[in-house]
Amino acid sequence: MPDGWLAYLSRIRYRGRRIEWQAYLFILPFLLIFFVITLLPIFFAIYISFNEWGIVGDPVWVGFDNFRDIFQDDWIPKIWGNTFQMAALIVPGTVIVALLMALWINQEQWLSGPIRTAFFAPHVVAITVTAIIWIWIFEKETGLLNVALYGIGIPKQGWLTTSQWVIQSISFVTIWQAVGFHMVILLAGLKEIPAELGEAAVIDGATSWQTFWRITLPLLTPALGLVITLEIISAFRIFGQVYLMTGGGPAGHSATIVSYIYNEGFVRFRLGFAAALSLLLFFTILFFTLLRTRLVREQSH
Amino acid sequence: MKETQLKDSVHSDSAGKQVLSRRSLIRAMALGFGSMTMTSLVSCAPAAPAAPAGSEAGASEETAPAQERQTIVMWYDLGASDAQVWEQFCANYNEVNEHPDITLEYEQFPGGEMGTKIMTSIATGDPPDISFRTMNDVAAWHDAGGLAPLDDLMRTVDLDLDDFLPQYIEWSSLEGQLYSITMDILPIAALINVNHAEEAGLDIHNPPADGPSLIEWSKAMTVKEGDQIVRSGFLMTGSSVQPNVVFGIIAQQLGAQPLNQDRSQVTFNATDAPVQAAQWVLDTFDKHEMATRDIADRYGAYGQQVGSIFWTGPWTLFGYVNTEGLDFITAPVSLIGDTLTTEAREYGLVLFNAPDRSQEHLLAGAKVIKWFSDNSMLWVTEGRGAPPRRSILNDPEYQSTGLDWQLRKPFAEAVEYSFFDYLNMVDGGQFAFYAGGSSTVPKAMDPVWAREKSIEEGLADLEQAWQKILDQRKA
Repeated sequence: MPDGWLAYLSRIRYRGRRIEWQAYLFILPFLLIFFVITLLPIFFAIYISFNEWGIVGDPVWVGFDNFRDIFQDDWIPKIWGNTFQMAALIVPGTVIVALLMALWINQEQWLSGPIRTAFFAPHVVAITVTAIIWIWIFEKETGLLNVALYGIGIPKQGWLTTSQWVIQSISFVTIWQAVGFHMVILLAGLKEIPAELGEAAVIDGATSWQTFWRITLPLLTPALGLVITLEIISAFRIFGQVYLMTGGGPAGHSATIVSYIYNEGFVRFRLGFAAALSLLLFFTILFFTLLRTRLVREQSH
Repeated sequence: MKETQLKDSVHSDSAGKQVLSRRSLIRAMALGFGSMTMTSLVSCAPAAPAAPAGSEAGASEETAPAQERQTIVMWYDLGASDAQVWEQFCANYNEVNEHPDITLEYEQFPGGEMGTKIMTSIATGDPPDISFRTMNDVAAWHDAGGLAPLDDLMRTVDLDLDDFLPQYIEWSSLEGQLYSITMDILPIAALINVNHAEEAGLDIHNPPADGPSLIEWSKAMTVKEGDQIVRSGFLMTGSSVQPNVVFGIIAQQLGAQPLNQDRSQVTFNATDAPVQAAQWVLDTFDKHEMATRDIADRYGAYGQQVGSIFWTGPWTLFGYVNTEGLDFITAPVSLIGDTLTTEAREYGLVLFNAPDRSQEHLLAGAKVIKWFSDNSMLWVTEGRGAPPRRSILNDPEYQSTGLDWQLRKPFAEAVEYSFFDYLNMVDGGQFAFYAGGSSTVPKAMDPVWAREKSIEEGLADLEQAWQKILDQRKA
């Protein structure tokens, strides 16, 4: 009998080709885990966003009430604005600095190996450690940054305690930590560009800028596209730095979407509201990712 | 038979090598996966209870002990030296073995995740038996149906509830039933830097007792470079916990009542006390210039001596004395309003219930709670807060054990006149003045401290947000 259904399975064809069931069996353990810990929670979050649920008891269907509450919550414009400001600094900042670093290291000059390691090092430091280090560097009275600036006559600034500087400071720390990882991706992209193309351009009399603009950058587009996409997703999800460095302060000037989702979902247990907010964040990230795809096409040169 | 099957599944290829057929591979994998699933399911099944300690192997079921041994699980979320003391406290329970039929298992979790962890454990029907935690979450756990009322259980185990200061019984009760046994109270008092006071020519033995003298002291100890404050005479932060807790204390000293008697209506703005209190906070920055908004880490700042007077709780004492070696005294908060009061945080033991828990098990948990309360001298001397029980407050050992009594005294005395944020029992941290992040008070008032909103606008927002929470709860 078992041989009967096995024989049946082995005869099934899809588009004229026999289905390789062994391959599916090999990936089955992953698919099960992926379904349970990724897909199922996503669908559940969508369902919960239309419910009122405090984790205990049954969810109560409230339709679009959670979405209506989002638009009536006076904290929402603030956190959305903060997150957009951070993303506007972090995404271009990270991409540009990572690109410059990759271009420099790609020249394989003296000490480029240790420098590459040094650039990458912040990425492997835990966010908690990063936050603690930078809290002390940014400290107003005794922090390294203010002491150095004061030494050259610049007044001490409240980097994490004033609305004037807090977003820039957190964005800077984020760029500092992320840039090494993206540098490695871009460096790999640069290594893929055939050297002959640059040599041919030089023979044809192209300047360094023309070589970069006409040859290097277009050929680096796929890697750049990946870096920008990853950074958009990362910037909109910013949480750890904010939670650890400022707690969203001063006066909510560094509170972000994810920090608010955390507070509403896991402190106040308004899981429906938090899920609705997560869904809006998902569509925001999707919009900007698609926009990126339109603007920076991953063309094959 | 098995050998035959194995032989069938293996055949020789054209080169004569034996290979596994595709069908056999699928079958083998299916069988393997099935076995793994079955093994996992079997391992998920509840294990048979372990034999009680001391029972003989092979003893017949008829000779089982009359009283089943109970394991009571306690969760707590303390850190640093507090965690060490609490762990010792738990170890003492098992060592003393006053209840031979009870074993206490204790687990420590980071504070940030404890509330979430307990709530999810209630949702899955498997909470711990006991937790030691701030009262902020009790209302939520109660609403979730996770708590056992303690009145009858405590009477059964003979805990002397009359020994407790009555307010700590009242503040641990919801809808007329007791849900927590207060272990320690953490009132806000003043820490005053001795060196700063002496530098400013102030008499450290006569600390500021009222509003004008607090301002005078703070201004005298403030240090400026140009127009920038580099040392705050009165330590504040620009937002979050510190300005809000100072605001809350002063507002209540001036007579503000956040809610009406039955906790159904917000009455905070019924008098101008909150306006005066908020103005007092703003004046520390802008009028008296005795505090800067530019401090992010208040504990670190006081340790580095960039603040002179710090209104904070007794949890800071151990670190400042033993780790940082600061030279400071403690004093009651100054009387700025009409009635001396200060905010206190309250920590207690709660007993969780779940559908599968027997009355006998709950009773075992109640016995553990009673033991901890009766033996809390260690915690209130080596640990951090002040006791809610008269017998301990009046015990000479309480003053002679642990950190210097002179440092602990203002905190212990404040137990009598503290107001616990009883509103926390209504809805977690949303009614607490001692709050940061996007909780209700900082959300409404932080923009006032940052001069982005007027006091009236901030207070209106606060009242509206609080009322909305009350209305939602009623609904």
